[in-house]
Amino acid sequence: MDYSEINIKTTSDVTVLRQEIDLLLNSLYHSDIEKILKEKVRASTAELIGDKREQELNSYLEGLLDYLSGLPVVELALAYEPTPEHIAAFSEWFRGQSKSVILNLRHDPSLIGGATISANGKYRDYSIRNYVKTIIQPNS
Amino acid sequence: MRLPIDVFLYTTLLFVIVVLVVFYVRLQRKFVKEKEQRRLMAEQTSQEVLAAAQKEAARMLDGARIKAGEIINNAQFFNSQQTRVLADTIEKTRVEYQRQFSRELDLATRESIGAVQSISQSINSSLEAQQKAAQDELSRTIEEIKTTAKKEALALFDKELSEKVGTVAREILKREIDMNEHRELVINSLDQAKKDGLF
Repeated sequence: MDYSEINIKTTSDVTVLRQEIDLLLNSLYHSDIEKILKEKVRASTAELIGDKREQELNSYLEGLLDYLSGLPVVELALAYEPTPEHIAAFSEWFRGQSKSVILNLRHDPSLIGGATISANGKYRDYSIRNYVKTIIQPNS
Repeated sequence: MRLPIDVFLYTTLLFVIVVLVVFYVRLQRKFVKEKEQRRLMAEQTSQEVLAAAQKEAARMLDGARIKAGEIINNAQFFNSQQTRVLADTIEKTRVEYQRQFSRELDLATRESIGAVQSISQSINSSLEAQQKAAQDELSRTIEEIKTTAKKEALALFDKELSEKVGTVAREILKREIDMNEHRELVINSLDQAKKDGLF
């Protein structure tokens, strides 16, 4: 199944979706699955599920869990608290590179601007704090 | 004719006293001369420390200023207004700190001379037998003062300048960067990370 179109941007999104998946997996064969889909999960999640039920839904959800576990996490420390639109723009940037990632966002005002990025075991500091440091301590 | 014993004794005693006085006066002259030499040496050393430290500070400041100019001009994410504000701020801070640094270093040098002179005075009051050891100690002390004063002054200057410029730049830039610019800065960071092979 193709999960790449699912709208997951941040680790917070993943946490919420995992909770919903657990809830649905525990209710697969219960009669209240319809009620859960209507009242306990977000509309976007219910839309993903569509009319999948029982075994088909079980396979879909298990596959979704595997997909989530396999997504690489990019840690992004920002100098400001981004708006949802900004988060979408950052996520879209990765999609533009044909990459699906989960953003782990952190707020660090001391960066002044820009970001520090950790991915694939590498770390880079592209913050203005780092630029200023380079200016005033040229040899460090 | 034999001199009476008491005349002989007084004459001998007088002779001994004269010899002691002459010896004492010569010794005093020697001490005064050496004291003056040490004072001149200490002053010269301190002047050298001051000159070297100022030269080093000027070199460091010029290097920082040139580097700052290069980085600011090359940093694509600063607009012209931010570039001007940052450059002005760094230049003002640099000039102010250079002035403060020269003043502090001058004061520190004068204190160093005072410290050396007081050591010299204490040596002057000691016995001649201790002179050699004291001389060695003086040389060592001068060398320590020279090294320590230079290192500490430069380190303190460097640290304070860095902190001050960093704080000023941070405060100014915080006010200057709006939400959309933050967004652009992050996107620029992602572009650069891609070029650097991060993902």
